[in-house]
Amino acid sequence: MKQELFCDVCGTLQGTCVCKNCGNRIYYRKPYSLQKTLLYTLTALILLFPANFLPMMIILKLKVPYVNTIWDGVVGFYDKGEYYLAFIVFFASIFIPSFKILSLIWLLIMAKKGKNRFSYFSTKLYKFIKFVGKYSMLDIFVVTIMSGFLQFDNLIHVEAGGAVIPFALVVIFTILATKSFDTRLLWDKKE
Amino acid sequence: LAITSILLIFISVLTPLLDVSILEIHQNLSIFDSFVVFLNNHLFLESFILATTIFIIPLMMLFSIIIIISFTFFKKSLKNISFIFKTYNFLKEWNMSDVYIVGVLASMIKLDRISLMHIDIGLYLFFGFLFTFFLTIRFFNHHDVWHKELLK
Repeated sequence: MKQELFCDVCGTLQGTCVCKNCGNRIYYRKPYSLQKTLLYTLTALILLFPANFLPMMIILKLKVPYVNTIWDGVVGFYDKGEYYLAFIVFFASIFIPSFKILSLIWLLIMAKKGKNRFSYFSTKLYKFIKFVGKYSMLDIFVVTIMSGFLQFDNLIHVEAGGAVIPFALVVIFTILATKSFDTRLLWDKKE
Repeated sequence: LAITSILLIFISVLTPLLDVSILEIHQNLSIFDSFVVFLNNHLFLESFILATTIFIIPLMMLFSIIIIISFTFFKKSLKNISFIFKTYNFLKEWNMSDVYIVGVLASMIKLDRISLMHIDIGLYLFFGFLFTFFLTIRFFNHHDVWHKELLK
């Protein structure tokens, strides 16, 4: 039976590896999908440590520096009774990146095993992490806004900390890992 | 809708989002100013990420939509602009303007604790931009455009 491929650019079914309509390259399976996903996931995992342990934001109040990591931000909101905000920051900045990396490792193992009883669950998990991935950028945007607004010279001054770049890279690498993963591998029958 | 979104993004990026004051010292800042603050502090990568994810990518997506629609309107072959479809398809996942607005809301709560804060016109305009932008993306089906082209 001749296999047909779905072109994700123009949305038509094609019998060749190059879409006749838009010229997009189509693959039966994305080339080096597992290797690329593994590489991006490991890079994100390594960067997750400086992202969580280095300061995200440095607040200078009357020239006295107060260093804040992501966790300090969550605890700060929780202590002040702003539970929902503590939850949002915890969810977006700590839970999602860690959950995404763990999920990608799970997906890599499942793709290596091929079709099994978890294939449906793994596909749903992939769709979920693809959807929530970008929301981890929340903390980066909060730092950019705070450091932009609070520039009151000696009174109060906010600077972006060393965790900003590693954290942004964690988000970028997890998005790249998700993009390079081919969900069709979860449904391939292995001998 | 796409043209309205383009107009709104340009205006909202240049107009102040919030007005923050501490001890009668006022500070208001637009999105464009925050790029400049980062550049002045030599934080080039942060400035680049901010500019790309919340301004350049949505703008490129909107221009892609306008070009595609104008090609279908003037009945020109879409094969000549297939790279625009590819670009649009690629950029969809990198647009983070919706995350930015959540970030603004979270920052407002933080700023409200340490300063006197008023919402400025830029924030309303940015909300307006997000609304029209997501409506545009919702109504624009790039697969459907190709199907119509193939039916000709």
